[in-house]
Amino acid sequence: MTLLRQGFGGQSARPPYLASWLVARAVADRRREELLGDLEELFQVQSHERGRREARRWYWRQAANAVVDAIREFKATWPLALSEARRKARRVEGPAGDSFMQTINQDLRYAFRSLKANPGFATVAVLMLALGIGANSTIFSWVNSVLLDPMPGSARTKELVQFTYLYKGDVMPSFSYPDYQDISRAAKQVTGIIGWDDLSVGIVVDRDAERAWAEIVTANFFDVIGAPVPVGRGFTAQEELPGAAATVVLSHAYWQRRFDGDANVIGRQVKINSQPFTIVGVAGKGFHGAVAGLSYDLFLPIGTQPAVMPGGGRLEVRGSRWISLVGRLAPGSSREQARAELDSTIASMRTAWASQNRYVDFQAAVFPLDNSPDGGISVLRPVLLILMAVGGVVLLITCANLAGLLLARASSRQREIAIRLSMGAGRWRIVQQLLIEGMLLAGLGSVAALVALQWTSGLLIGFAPPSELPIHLDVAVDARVLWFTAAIAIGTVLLFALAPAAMAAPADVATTLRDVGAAGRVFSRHRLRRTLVAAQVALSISLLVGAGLCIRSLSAAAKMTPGFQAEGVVVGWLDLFSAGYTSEQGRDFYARALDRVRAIPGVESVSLSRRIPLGFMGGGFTDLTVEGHTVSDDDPQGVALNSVGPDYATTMRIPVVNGRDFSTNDVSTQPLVALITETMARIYWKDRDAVGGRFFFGQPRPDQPPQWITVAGVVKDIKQRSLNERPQPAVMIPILQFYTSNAVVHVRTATGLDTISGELQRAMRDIDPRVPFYNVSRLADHTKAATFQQKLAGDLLVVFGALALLLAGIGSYGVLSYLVGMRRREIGIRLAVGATQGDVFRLIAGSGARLIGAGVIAGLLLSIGVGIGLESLLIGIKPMDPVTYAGVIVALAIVAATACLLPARRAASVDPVTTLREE
Amino acid sequence: MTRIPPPVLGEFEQIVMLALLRLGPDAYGATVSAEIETRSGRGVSVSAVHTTLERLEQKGLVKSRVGDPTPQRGGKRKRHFEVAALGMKALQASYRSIRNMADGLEDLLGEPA
Repeated sequence: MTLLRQGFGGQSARPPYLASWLVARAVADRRREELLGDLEELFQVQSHERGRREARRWYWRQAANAVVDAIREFKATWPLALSEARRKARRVEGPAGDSFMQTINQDLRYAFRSLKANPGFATVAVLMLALGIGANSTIFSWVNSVLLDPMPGSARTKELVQFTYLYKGDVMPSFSYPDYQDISRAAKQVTGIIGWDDLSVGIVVDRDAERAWAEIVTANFFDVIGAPVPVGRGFTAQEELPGAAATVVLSHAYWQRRFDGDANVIGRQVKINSQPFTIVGVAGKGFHGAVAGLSYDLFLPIGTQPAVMPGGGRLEVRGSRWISLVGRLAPGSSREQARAELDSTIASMRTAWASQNRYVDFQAAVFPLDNSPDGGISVLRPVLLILMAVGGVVLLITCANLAGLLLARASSRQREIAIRLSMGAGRWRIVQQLLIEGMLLAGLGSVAALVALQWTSGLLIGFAPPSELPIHLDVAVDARVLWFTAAIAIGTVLLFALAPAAMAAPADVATTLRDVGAAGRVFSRHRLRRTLVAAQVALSISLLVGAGLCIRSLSAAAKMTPGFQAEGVVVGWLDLFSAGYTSEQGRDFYARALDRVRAIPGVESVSLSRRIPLGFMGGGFTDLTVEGHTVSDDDPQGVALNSVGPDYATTMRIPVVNGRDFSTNDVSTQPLVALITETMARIYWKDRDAVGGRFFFGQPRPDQPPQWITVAGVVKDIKQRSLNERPQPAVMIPILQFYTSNAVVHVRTATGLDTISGELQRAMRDIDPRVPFYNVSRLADHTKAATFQQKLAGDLLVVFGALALLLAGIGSYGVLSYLVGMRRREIGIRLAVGATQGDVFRLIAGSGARLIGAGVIAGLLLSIGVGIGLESLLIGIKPMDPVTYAGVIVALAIVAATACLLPARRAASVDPVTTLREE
Repeated sequence: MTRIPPPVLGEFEQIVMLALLRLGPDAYGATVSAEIETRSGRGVSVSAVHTTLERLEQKGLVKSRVGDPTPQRGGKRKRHFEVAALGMKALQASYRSIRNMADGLEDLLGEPA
């Protein structure tokens, strides 16, 4: 070791940096320098004797040893170190015995004072938090009731499934009663199946008549659903048989509303659709029926169907499909097993009843009741999921903004923090205090959000378009929503307060005291602010792209001709059945009603229809036999069927491509006629002329001569259920020939809704005041049900996207102003040594452009994900729609330009003389 | 008066203290490690030497003083160690124990290198 003793001159290589860094980190303060020095000295020797590579290897081995030794030593002294640290912390904290709670208390009071001293900052922060937290709480309250608890009052909803069948890809929810009986008998994978349908009825209680919605159900309804009937009783098996005693169970809400919760309601008589009924029970509180999102007033046993539903007895008719099936899975059974079982039942029905009904191309499908394509939840679910994502994005933007604000504020509190640190406050104490401040802000924001929640949670129902259905979305602010709000608030604080707090209290006190405003640390804070702004820009772009896609989708949908023109048509519902009309009387009423309405000034044309297209309710369906058409397996199982009045095509502005529209001459004394759509003509008459062609409903029956119907006209295809559907074959029959007791009056008029509504009511009352005429509204509003999802998503995305962009713009402006402020001296110098104002302007503007540019790129990438997420909602446009992207970029450019130009101009107008004189 | 016996030294502690005696005023972390490595032929962890010296100092068996930095050390200071009085006694006691235990076993143990 003579070399060592001599100390050879000069330094050759440095030891590996990483290794020595590791040693420095691992080893305690007191030995660090000496150990590193010794290692370096020996490294030089090794390097000299054995070469650089060997020396490096040696050094790494030594570093590893040092780290292991340090760990060993640490483990040995851990208990000692802990109590030592505790003792030190206690000593430093202030008066002896300062417990954790006391520190929290001190910090809270300090935070309060601090916020009071900065009311501007506090207000902005609390408002932003209220917005971010509030948006998420509101959306969660919607999700909570719609998705997490869709059928209140029922037991173990997860086990309930809906039985349907698929026909050529479409989901068909309706079965006939004989089908129901067969399926119910054969089903082992379920503990019970109920059948139900719904209808709007007229109910008379003590001579007061009103409309109500009823669910007509099989006797096991309440048992299978798991909804108790606390007052009175449910239905007996007897009541399921046709012609049984007419009993009714009230819903709790209806009982409260109509009967004031009278306990003596059991046994009272009411009239439903002119039939006498006895009240036997009241369902449980909060139970609204078997359909999520709808609220029914009454429950009727299925045996009363012939008496209470128009169209006569259906319980024995196997071809009449009108019942929805819901079953409860048996323990251990899966949906797939139930589906397979239903498939085999359908197969055996196909063989058994091939002569009467085909069942061809039927495939069983079983859905969970709360996500069935037939239900309202499936309409709301995608929208709500999108909204949750939007809520998350809004929260992130809020946090980014707040973090930026706090960082800006932290700079001005450097001195204060440094002094506290030097007086012995631990680093974590400072962080704790800053976090408490954040929690206080978040707490105030949460309170504001919860207050607003009382009002905002009810907004969901406001988005529902008008419908004849009894839509009811009970959005309650329950414990789960409160917990969620609290969790969001805490998460928000951690997101926006932690980074600035950690940055504000660096490990090195001396540096803090010495260099308030040291470039290095301030720059890293500035860099964080820049990242935050870029993130905000990216997020707001993704929101705006989502909004743009929805809006474009809406306008594309509007351009998609549904085949008729809904604008300008006013509709109103007639219920002749509940007024007890016979078909003769009914036909007479319709004829007179049409005459009366036609005479009203301002009415262009008037017609009737059994149902409206593109509403929330489905359509009728029938099979038929066409003269001269060879039956093939490609034929549709059935065609859409509607009963309409004279001038229907004219009133709805449906082009007639062949033949004629219905007229007032198409009455029961005249030959039976029909209108068909182009698709139907194409399928059944191919090259023949459809006008004059004949068909009849159902299959040929050997015992009955067919009731031939002649095609009077062919019209263009109409969309019945959704804007995206394939063209359907459809047939329309005259209401005056094929009487139906419920019809919707369609009036094409330019007169305002209120005026024409009054006129129509008067006209109907003049003919017969007992006939209910209700729900007078614009057809266009009803058909909006088809674009309900896009509208809801689009509206909210526009609002939040614009808000996000505004916040991002403000954030950018803030960062750039700050940058200008920081660089005032530099700008002054630049100007003094010959830079022009234009140069300075470009310098700052360029800085801003780079900042926002990074955000734009990230935002565009995010938007691709947004497009994919929204794909199911988009009608007629692609997720990568260029017009949308172009529009968003333009909007962003405007905001960005504004945000950058102002600080840039301020920078350019800096007076170098003044700046340089400042110190 | 009962004499408190000097503390018993661990094996490595003895080696390190012997190195200190050999090196005299030149004894600091690097030289001690190098000396042990040369003389005993075993690889030495500098960190282990430091830990041992620190422990010995805590027990009062060695004394230390700060030394000057040199360029070879990247400007970092050294710490010189020297055997204290108590340490000397402990070392002597150790050596006596070994000598007594090994007495008569020289043939088995072999000659020092």
